[in-house]
Amino acid sequence: MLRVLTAWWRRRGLRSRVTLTAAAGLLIAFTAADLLLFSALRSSLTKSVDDSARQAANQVVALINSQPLPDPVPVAASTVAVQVLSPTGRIIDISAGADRLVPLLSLPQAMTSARSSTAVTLSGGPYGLQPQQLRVVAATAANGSIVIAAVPYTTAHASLAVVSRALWLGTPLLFLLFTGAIWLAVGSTLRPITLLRRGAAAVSVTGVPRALPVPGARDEVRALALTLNGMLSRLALARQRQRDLVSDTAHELRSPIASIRTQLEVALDHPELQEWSETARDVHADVLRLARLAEDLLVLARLDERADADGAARGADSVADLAEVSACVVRRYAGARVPVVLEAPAPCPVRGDAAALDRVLVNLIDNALRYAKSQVMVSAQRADGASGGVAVGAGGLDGGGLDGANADGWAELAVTDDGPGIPAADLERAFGRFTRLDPARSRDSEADGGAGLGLAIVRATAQAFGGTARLEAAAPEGSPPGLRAVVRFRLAGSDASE
Amino acid sequence: MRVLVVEDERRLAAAVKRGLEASGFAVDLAHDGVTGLHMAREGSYDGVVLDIMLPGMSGYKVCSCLRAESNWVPILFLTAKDGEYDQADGLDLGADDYLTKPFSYVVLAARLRALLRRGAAPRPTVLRAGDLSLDPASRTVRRGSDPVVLTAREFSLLEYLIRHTGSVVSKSELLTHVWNEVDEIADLNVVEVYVGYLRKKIDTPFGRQAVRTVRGAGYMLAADGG
Repeated sequence: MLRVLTAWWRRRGLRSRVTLTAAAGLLIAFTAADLLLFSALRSSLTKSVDDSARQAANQVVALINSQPLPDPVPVAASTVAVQVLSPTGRIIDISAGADRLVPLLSLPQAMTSARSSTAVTLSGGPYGLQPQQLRVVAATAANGSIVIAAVPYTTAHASLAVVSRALWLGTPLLFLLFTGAIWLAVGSTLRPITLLRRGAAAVSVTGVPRALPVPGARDEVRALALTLNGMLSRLALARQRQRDLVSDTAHELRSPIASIRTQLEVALDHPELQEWSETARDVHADVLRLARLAEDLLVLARLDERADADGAARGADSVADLAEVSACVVRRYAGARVPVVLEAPAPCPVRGDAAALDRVLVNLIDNALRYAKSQVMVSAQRADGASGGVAVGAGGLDGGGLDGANADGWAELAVTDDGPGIPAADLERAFGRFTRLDPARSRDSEADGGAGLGLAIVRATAQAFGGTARLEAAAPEGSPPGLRAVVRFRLAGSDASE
Repeated sequence: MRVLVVEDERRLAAAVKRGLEASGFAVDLAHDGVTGLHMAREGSYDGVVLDIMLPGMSGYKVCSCLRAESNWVPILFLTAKDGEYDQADGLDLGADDYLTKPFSYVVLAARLRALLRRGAAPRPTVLRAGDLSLDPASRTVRRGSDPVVLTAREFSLLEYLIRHTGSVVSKSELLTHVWNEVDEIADLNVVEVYVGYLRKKIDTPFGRQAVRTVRGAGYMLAADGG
């Protein structure tokens, strides 16, 4: 039974629950109030009737004490009936209208009443009085006589009856009124939420930012609406960025494909114009360009996917020695245009995998080589606390790990060139996908720009392993200012949590 | 026929040059916008194949500069940008054709030939007669610098007149070219009525007389704007 009830309760909506709870409270309150009112009224009325009976009795007692009692006993009001009994219980005197034969109270009853000054309710019928409720008290006189006074209870009785009827009628009405009002009030409170829900249902599949209706009242519902609107805007922005990326990608892919297609079509139409080997070499260069672009895009897509993965998945990272990978890569640049120098004094195990680190190094060194005047310097070592970055939380080499980002848990990879550098305004923009800062460089030559994904990959890789990437001027006052790319990786085995 | 190809993809440009030369064109190459504009101004080319995404200056800019200088050389845009607004903007700037990459080389050659057939007559995007100007792309009309608001019908009427500036256009010719006879009851009077409306908007407020009545023949728009 209880289970059924609980289940039914759970299914009730917010409005029903609030209203039912309030109604139950109201019911209890009204009932208690009514009962209290009624009994307070009754005791008050009874008391005043008793008081008048006692007063009448005491008046007669005073009369007896002071002088012989006249016959009939004088009473203040004609509704009062008085009987005077002898100490033995025999009626010796009465007031007009009282019964001469039968005492209203028996002797023991009278004695009790006189002693404790309490009243008794009797029906007047059997005593020859009006058939109505009476309140009877007794008092003893100095000479042992007992005075019994009876006062009718009718008026009080009638008043109580009226009040009782009023309460029986009025309380249910009030109860229904209040319950109805609560039902409506809760309903109107919930209305903004219904509007929000309708607004949310109307947001299209493509998440076109249709602002949800924000209610005027400054309460939680308004805060919810504002927050949801903020969320919708962010989602719309992210979706727009995605669309832009896809569009840019398609565009970038078209160029090498068009080049390949035209070269082949022309060669097929006019085979006498060029040696096939030359055509093949040119097409090959474009195919490599296309392949590199496709590869870069795939890498970015995978890094994006990885960046969305939760901390647990990221925890199972592989470890690679940054110093060793750097040495490996730098060796491959032995015959480059300018010398590529490595500074990696000690092994530097970081969170990341060797292939990803290799790619980061290759991208940075390729960029540096394009612009360097006399040399490119690569350094891979542990970061000291003074080299900037986030350094909060418990110090110490073993790190508390509570808020991570302990400066001691980082390794820094820096690739520096002494070329013309990048204006301060573009230092951040350079990391954008398909952003090529120098529009004078054409896209197709290997020696020149490329599609603009190199730095985007560097940053995405760093972030996928919990690190950061930034650009800065190598020698801000110097001329040329040069450029330094700094990538920070977390040291493997550091307790830095996400 | 001498053609200028402005394209920053060197291998593609070289292939196009080879192919066009084999088809009998004389071809010059430019690999950035600034050089392309310079060459287009200096040389007298019969046609220009223009990429949009160029280093230095975009193809759009090159085209609008040439047209602003009243250089009516036929221009064909060749580009990877294929968005509908990219195409519309390119053509509304004054180019004559638009081909997206990757393209068929055979089609490129054919379109170039078609372009050359059309010739290099002055084809401004904004039509002018004196200080009266009409831009079909944005559907706006101006007298000097003051905009004039015309209904669609009045606009079409003025457009036809301004395209035939200097020659007389008969009422029935106007009726055929401006009104959609299938939909409406055609009556030569309606031409008269609308010419009246037009005059009230472009002539009367300025105290000019651009639209002239030639008794018994039709109407004519004065080449100097009246």
